[in-house]
Amino acid sequence: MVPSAYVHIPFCDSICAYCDFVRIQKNEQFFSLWKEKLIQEIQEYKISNLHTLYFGGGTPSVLSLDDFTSIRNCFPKDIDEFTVECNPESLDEEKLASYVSLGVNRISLGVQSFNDDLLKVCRRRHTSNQAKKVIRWIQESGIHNFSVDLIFGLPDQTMEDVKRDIFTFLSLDIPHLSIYSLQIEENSIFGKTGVEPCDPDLEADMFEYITKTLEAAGYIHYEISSFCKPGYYSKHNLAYWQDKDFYGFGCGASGRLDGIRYDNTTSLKKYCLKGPCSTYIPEPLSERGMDAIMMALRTKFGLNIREWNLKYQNDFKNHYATVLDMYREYFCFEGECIYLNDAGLEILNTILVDFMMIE
Amino acid sequence: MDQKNVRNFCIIAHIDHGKSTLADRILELTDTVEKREMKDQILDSMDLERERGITIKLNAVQLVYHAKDGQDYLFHLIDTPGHVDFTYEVSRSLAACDGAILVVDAAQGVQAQTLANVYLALENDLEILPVLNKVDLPSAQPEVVKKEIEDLIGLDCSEAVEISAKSGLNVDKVLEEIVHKLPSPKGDKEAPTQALVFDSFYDSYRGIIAFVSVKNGTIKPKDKIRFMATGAEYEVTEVGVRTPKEVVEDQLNCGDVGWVSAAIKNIEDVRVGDTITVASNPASEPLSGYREMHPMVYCGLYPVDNARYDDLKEALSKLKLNDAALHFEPETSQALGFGFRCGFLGLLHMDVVEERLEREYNLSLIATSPSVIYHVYKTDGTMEEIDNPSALPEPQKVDHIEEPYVKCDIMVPKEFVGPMMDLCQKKRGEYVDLQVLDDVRMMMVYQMPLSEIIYDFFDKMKSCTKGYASFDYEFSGYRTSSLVKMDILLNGQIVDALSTIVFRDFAYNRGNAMAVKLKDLIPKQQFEIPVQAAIGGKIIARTNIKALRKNVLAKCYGGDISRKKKLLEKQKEGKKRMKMVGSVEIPQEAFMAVLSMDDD
Repeated sequence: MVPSAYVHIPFCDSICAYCDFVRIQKNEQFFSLWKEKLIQEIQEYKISNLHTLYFGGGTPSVLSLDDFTSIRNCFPKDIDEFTVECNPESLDEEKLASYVSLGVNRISLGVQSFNDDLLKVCRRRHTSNQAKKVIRWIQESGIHNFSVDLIFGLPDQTMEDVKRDIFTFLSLDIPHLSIYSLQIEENSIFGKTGVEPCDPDLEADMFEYITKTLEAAGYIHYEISSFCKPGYYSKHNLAYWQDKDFYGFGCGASGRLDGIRYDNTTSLKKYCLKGPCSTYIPEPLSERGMDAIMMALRTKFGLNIREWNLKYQNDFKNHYATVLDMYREYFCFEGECIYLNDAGLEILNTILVDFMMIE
Repeated sequence: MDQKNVRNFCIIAHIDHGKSTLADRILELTDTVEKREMKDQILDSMDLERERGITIKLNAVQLVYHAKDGQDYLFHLIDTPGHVDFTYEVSRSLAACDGAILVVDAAQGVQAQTLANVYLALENDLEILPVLNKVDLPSAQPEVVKKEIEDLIGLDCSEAVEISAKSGLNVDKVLEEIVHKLPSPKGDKEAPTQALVFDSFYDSYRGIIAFVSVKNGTIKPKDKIRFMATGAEYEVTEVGVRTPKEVVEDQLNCGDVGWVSAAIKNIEDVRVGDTITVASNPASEPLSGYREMHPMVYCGLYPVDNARYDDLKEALSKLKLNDAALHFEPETSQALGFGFRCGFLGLLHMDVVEERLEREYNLSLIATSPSVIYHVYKTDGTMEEIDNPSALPEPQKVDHIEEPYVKCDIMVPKEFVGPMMDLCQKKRGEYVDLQVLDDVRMMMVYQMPLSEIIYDFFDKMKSCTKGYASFDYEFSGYRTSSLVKMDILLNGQIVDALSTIVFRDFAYNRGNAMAVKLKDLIPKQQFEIPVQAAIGGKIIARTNIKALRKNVLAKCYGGDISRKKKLLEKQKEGKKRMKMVGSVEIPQEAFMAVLSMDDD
């Protein structure tokens, strides 16, 4: 059984300055064709059982309730964790109530910042007050499991700005936070307008502050960018990080079946005319083993060495002995698992590159 | 074909004046290359030449021209490089020819390399045919340029053909001029064979192939040939010409320019400039050959992966066949391990060799910063030639040091004379002469230390004259200078491969610039790394590479794996090009940092 499914909703009302995901301003011409093809794509798999379902984007909350319902109904009724990504400006009490009735039990809200000036810089269309109001609605709707997204390292953002955002976050009693340092992607508006990246030392200071403060407030730093109150892990994301298969549906989605990753077309036109046109990415076993390491070391649960050895027919400790020695002060062992300490997580890329140097 | 219907000629010009384009047109007009196979700069067969748009290697082709007098003529055309570093290629081509087409850009006029190449051609007694190119440009001034050629070079330009090699305008007239104005080869087919080896290359199936210009006699398969300088003898297996494809012929006759294959395995036996004769009826004297070129610039070349030392050695040996001016001998560095000290004619030559080694032989290399040859006079009265800064003897053992000077001829529009003089002064130049060439241009003559020329003179010259200056230089002698060795310390340890010899008064600025440049080039590592420049034991500059605190991908969801992996792959490729020196990882570029820094 494939435990998880991701559905990509590539439409947005407006384009945010940092984003380079597959997204397009909603347009009627393609919409009905897109919906038809998406439903077709999902139904082909006749999914009878699903552990987690995630609607991401884009902006899933721009979908009308009817459209949302018809896509949702392609999946089984009972799903352990069903997350929908929402933007504050496209979510209201009525929509929330309908989501709940359709089985949604987790919301991921794209807040990005509680500072109105920074929200403008990001070209977000909501205000800080709007976000706070929506957070209250979510809490009142009965969805107790929800997450907000924040970004730090934004243009001209100061340490004080970050502290205020974290303070606001903590005052709102939210069980999960995904917090990302701004990456200037070439194809984003920031990338195209030549925005300078944040000073690396300041960025490191910001992250240190964030980690320290949230941990002191009782949050568990369970993945590089993810914090949660006990019990509020994102089960769906853990599937990615713990080397599980997952379906990827829709234009711009990626999935993994029987260990083989695939990417659907990123062209909406092509998707509407021909369907997903998935490109499979054949990787040798060693490469897949590397993918598993790359994802697992992001989390505090780390990598289960015994399982990895079995799955990838290799001897982890022996094969990577030089890397394990080179970074010995960053690695921790617990039972069958290896994981990185906080300092190690911070330089994960440097460590991963050394893993990759060993063929 | 009758020897009187043979014409051996080359095309000479300043860089970018249109040599290779004219060669293209000639090949087209004579139907040497079929239209569908034609591409621009067809004789620039190296990828590197095509990418950079320059000719690096001479290249010889045979073609047949059906002239207006009804007769067929056999042309051997040799395309030559234009850059000062490749003058030796030009001089080799010239020795194989009887005439030269001088191409001058009708807009830019006579440039420094035009003069240098003309003098070489005159030394070789070649008949020179001036041609004005790019006459279709709006800025073309053919009459002015003709007068310039007459005044500066003393060539009669009354009948100079005005062409556009790009559009093909009047190129047919050039072909007729070749027939009527250039001489046919003089040699005697019946005389003992004398063939000048002007180039060679290695073929993995056939061994070493020699390119020759047959001055007397003939060469054919089964002939036992002798290389007159080395005495080596081989039996010829095949001879032929290039059209530009290789074509096998029955024999090479007096006046022909072609190749000889004789299953030659020993690289040492074939020396460019040697004469081939036939052992059964040997010539009494070799041909005069030509001036051997001595390297002006040295640098260390090391494989990033020490295990590939032997591969590098083999690659250098093979490359040398094709590049007679390349010199190399083994050396070791504490930081870099085993490698070679290599000598080049100039920086472009060095750059090209390094790139050819990396591409054609799939090697990943570290080049150390270039150095000239210093004459170090020691207190015990002996003199040592030093081409590697780290080999400089202890200061107390050095009496004085001499460095090579060159005489620079710089042609520059009048309005840039001021800035150009400033630049020459700053580069320790010594004024020799200033001549008015014509209404707009002057010729400046300076004596300058070669080390300043290889440092960044060319780039600086281009920027201070907006690219309107051209220059040529030749070695003029050694002079005493106040020079010191500057060491670079990373994490407190001297990295020998980063040491340089600098003019004492420049040391402080260069030390600072070098430290700053290295700070930019060396990626952050998990610990802080002090970067210091020192003379003797004295630290003259210092900066720090801060410790790496954060290198992590923020988001990484299912759909991101491919993209994020690409990013990691890129970091991995970068890492492969790093050298671990002590506990510090240093990227290849850092060893050449001295060339790209700004110390103004």
